[in-house]
Amino acid sequence: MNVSLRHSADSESIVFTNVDALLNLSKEHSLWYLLFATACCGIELMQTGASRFDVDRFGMIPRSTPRQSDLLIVAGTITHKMASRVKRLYEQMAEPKWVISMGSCSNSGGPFCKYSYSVLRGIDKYIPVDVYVPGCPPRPEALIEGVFKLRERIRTEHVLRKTSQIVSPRPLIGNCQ
Amino acid sequence: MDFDAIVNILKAQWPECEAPAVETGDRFVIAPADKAFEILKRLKEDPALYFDNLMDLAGADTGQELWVVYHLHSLQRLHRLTIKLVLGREKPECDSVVKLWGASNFFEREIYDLYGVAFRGHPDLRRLLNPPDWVGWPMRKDYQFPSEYHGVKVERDDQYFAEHIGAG
Repeated sequence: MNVSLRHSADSESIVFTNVDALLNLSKEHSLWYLLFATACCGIELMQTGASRFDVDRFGMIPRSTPRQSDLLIVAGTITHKMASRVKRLYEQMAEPKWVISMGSCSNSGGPFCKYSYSVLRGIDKYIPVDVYVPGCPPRPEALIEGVFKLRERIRTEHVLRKTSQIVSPRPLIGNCQ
Repeated sequence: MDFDAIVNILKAQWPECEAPAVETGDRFVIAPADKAFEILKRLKEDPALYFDNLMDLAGADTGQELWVVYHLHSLQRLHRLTIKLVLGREKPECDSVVKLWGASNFFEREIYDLYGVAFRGHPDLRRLLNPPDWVGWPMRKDYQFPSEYHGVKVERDDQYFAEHIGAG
């Protein structure tokens, strides 16, 4: 039994809990992620989904369309040209949705930070990011650690009762078509 | 056919062609840009030369002038040739060779995108890699970074350090 259902009674068939805990439990155990990769981080993302690391056991199923996804893992270098496409993918995802920025490139521009004219210096300039995973590229363990951080965050969310703990999403900048 | 024989054929018809001596690497021919199309057409269609394969079409910026470099190969005769066109920086133009080698279509779009060389007669001369509303020719030596793109600031790391920490 998950710790978030901590109001459970001793009875085996009846569970007392609140709606937030139940919703958060279901959300954090069904993080379907979008298959989206633009660079070498994508190889590690594939490896994370494959049998050795097997994120299926956390309920993470890769989806090929943003309309069925809960989680956008931005894996790889994002150029200015690609950024508007990423933003469109993000907007096509249904709420609730989360974003993990995977690797140095999507965190800050990475090795292209100094001299590149075409690479975006961090995907957080376009879409709000929940978890940043450092690495070039991060190993699957690091990505799974990032997913666990995201799950901790989901666990504290309140759906029905808005509190000041909720971080309001950052305003989107960049008026791309 | 070896390099000197090809150069002699070219020089007999177009005396402006030059084949400068090189210290290292392969030798090449500098062709006049306004006659490039007929030279390349001869190179392709002459049965003795028969360069049926355009291996690569590249651009370059030396700082003073722009180059367009054709790397030709004959699958039938098994010889190669490099042709260079030297163009000015102000309004670089040369003829498109899409009619001769279809492979040059995307090469010429790429050179147009990165160096700003306009290819006359190209069927679809648009930017290939950069967004269509991009400003400037990024591979030129005097290219200046855009300060922002679609409202997002393009901040270079060395500029950031110079402003916030100090140059060095």
